[in-house]
Amino acid sequence: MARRQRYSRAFISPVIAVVVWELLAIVGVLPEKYVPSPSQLAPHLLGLLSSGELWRHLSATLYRLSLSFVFALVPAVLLGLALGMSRTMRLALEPILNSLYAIPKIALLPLVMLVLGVNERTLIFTATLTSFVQMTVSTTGGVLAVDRSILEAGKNYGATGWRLFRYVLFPSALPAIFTGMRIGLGLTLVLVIAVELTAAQEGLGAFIWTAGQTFAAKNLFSAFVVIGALGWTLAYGLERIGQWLMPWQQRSSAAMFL
Amino acid sequence: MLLSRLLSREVAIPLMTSFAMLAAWETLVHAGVLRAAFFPAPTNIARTLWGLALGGELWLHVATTVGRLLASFLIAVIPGTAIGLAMGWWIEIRMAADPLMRILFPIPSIAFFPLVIFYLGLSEWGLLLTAAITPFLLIAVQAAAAVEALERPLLEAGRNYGAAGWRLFMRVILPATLPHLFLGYRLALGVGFIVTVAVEMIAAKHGLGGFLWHSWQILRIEEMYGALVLIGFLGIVVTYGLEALADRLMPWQVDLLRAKGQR
Repeated sequence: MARRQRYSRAFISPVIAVVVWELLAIVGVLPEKYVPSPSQLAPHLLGLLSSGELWRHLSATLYRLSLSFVFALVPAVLLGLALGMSRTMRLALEPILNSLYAIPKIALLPLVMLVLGVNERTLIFTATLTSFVQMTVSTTGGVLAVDRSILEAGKNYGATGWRLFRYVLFPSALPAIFTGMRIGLGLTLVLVIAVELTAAQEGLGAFIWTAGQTFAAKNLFSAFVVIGALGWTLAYGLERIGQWLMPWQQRSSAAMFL
Repeated sequence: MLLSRLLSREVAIPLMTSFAMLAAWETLVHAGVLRAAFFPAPTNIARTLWGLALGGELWLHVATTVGRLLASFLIAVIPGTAIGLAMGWWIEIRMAADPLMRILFPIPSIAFFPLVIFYLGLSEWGLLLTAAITPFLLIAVQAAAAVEALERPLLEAGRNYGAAGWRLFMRVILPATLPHLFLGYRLALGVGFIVTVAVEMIAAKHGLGGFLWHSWQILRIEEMYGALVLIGFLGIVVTYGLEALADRLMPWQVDLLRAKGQR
């Protein structure tokens, strides 16, 4: 009951915003050429989707995003776990990892283009690096933040080696790994769109850039809605999966935005 | 004292690996294994950077990027903090603003760029506003969470000692929310830096991002590496410098990100 009420309240202000937007367009405050009203935008967006043009760009972006995420996931989690457990490895590799973490990965794009050439591989490599660094750092942090007393309790109950890892350490680090995945995906999406804006023919970034340059306001807004929906699906989808996998994990409203 | 600190494992191993990497790079270039056209020797990069620094052009780019980062941060921080604190204090404002923020926040920050320059043109304001949007949302959400996390007894104690209104805010609420606020500012500067560099690479002549992109296009590889080094340096200041600053300013406070195991 309270839950349903909360959900319905959550929709009030976005609905009001859309209605105000539509009213402003009808009154004529918003010139149609620059700001299409929601009632004009919806059919246009549906048209773009049914003609297949937008799907082509969406699938190009999704392809880059998912490939780089999959490439990065396993090595990043393994390296992160190793770094979390071995102090020597951490001391040896952290200078490199921490500097990579601090550099906006898009700044590495020219360097990667220089070595790999200007092609699809370059984009995917840079995107993979983005996911990889974020997920490694988060996993390491997750292992380091595991409560010592939990480890001690596990040891006292006779867990050692693989069992200690499998039943105590890994489950405790899992929330942080998941956060790393979510932040990593978010940062990778930013990178992919940024690169597509100027250096690609296909993809949502390329589409929205062309729309802006040719003053096609409806295309521009449609692409923005689709990019937003994509970011949305990734963020909340992963959060849902995380809740399902780790029901013991407390939710906090601010953690979503980290 | 200093010597023993230098010899401790915490300092010695990272220093050694970094130095070994650079030395290996330098040697491999001179041996001809790494192509100098792609990977110029570190000493060459350092020399180029030094030359650029003496020429003065470099400082213009650094100042432009830092200026943009700070300006966009200022655009974000004042309304962000105000709205966030109000969201935390008044449930009505929270119910109105929170859903909108939840819709806007997951949108990749750079996607606002085409939309913003559609209206503002490729102007300085376009760059600044783009780099301010996601930081604004981050700051607001952290500020709201900070007020929500306030402990009731603390407020009650403040009230019992006669603090109300402005005094309650300045003497009780603000100090108690400061660590959260600072975390939001830190995250915001980090995101703002990424967006600033990205936007500069796409659309600016000046600034480190523009300089990086330009030197790649005319294939001045040493300058490209120089720009990369400086961007990395700024990134390290933004990421780790602020963390250290928070430790100094609020030593009683456990770093909230570190405590959750995610930096």
